[in-house]
Amino acid sequence: MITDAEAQRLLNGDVPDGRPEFAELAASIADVRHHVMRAEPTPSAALAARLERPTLGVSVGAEPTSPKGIKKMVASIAGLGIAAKVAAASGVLALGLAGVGAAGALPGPAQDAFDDVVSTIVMTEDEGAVEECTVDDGTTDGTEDVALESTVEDGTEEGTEDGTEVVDDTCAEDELPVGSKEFSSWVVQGAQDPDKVGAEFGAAVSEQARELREEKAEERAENGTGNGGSSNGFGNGGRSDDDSDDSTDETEQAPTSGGKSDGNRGGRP
Amino acid sequence: MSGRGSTSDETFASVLAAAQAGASWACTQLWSDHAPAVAAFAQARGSREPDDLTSEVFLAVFDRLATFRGDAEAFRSFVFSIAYRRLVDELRMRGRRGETVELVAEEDPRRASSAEDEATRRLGEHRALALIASLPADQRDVMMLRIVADLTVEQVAVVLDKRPGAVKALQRRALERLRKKLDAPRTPAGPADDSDS
Repeated sequence: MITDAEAQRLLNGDVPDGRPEFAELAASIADVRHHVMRAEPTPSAALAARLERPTLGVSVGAEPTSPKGIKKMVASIAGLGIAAKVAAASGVLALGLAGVGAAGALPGPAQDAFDDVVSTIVMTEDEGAVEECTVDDGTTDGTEDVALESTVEDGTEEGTEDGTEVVDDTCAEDELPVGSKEFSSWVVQGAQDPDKVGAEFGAAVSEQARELREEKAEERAENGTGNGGSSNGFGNGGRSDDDSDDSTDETEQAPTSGGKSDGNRGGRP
Repeated sequence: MSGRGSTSDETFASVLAAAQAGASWACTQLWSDHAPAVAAFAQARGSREPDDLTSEVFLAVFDRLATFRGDAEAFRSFVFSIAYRRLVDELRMRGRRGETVELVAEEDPRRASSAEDEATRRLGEHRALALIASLPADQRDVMMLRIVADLTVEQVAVVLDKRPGAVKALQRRALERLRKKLDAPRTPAGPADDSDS
């Protein structure tokens, strides 16, 4: 039986008093202690940068890579309620359909319906808003630390220290496209931008599509036209209404998930 | 291995405060004091890239530094807690993916010049380390953290999230097992004992 004191002496590489049977073990442990001694390791590039500028709030090594970002997005969606999940899914679906529709690649009747909706909605706002205000939840908190690291993958600086190019959600919501052309181009742009494909953007698309649909319905009501073709085109109009209800739910929950997303994406280059 | 760093307890608080305030020299001091032991532990415990792992550990340390409260011993436990988790992650990931090892001609055992070389290698500097590595996992962790990382029983208990009494028991059993292994005749049949691990 080895006592605590004897164990401590052995671990120090010393032979406990009166225990010669442990001499070889003590020597072996001393040998290990001697041979595992190492010089100071070479810091990685990320750590070297951190050691030079410890005030950088988020380490490069701690930034999520793209697969992790996707995992976090999936995890955030998984954490939503059923209605919100449906809304998120419908948002993504709407995003995809709108993109395909704008490209004229839908099957015949569906493309007709798409064209009908897009062509009958009146444009009401200037088109420059889309260019100026991107809908991206990768906003920063405005600190220099995060802004310095917000280099997008193509090597361009997305965020600058004055933050002029970093647009927050408030700005995005204020200037969401309402007209048909802007809406479609906005959706197409979003569909082509991997950073904008996500639950939040999908929810925004869903919400915007709902508003457009309501505008059109009001317009038709005022004109007193039934527009059977359109109804046929949206044979699943009942489902769309359901989606829009869910979209409302999602819109209500969006700030919560958006907040998480912002936190996650804030450090991404 | 003294390994307790060149920073005394008296000055640790000021170094820590400076590091938490963002002083580069203080962060470098913390790195210099603890990185060699972390890298040694990672290497002895089987990390393929101990330097990289050590850098990752310290990136995590600096990320959480602002919230750390404690003395030098607590900081050492803090650092090795992160190191241990990172190491376990690496070993687990490697176990899942399978391992690819770069072929280095000089390390190919088929190129050993003679049986004497092999015998010398076995009886040489790595023998004791290999003996520790052959222990059951929980005993091995305790011994590596005690010997290589030079942690106290209490610090090991923090790192492994065990009670100090449990760590002492594991340490005692490990030492007794090691002594028996060392006393066993050194014949080619010796490695059969590896089934313990």
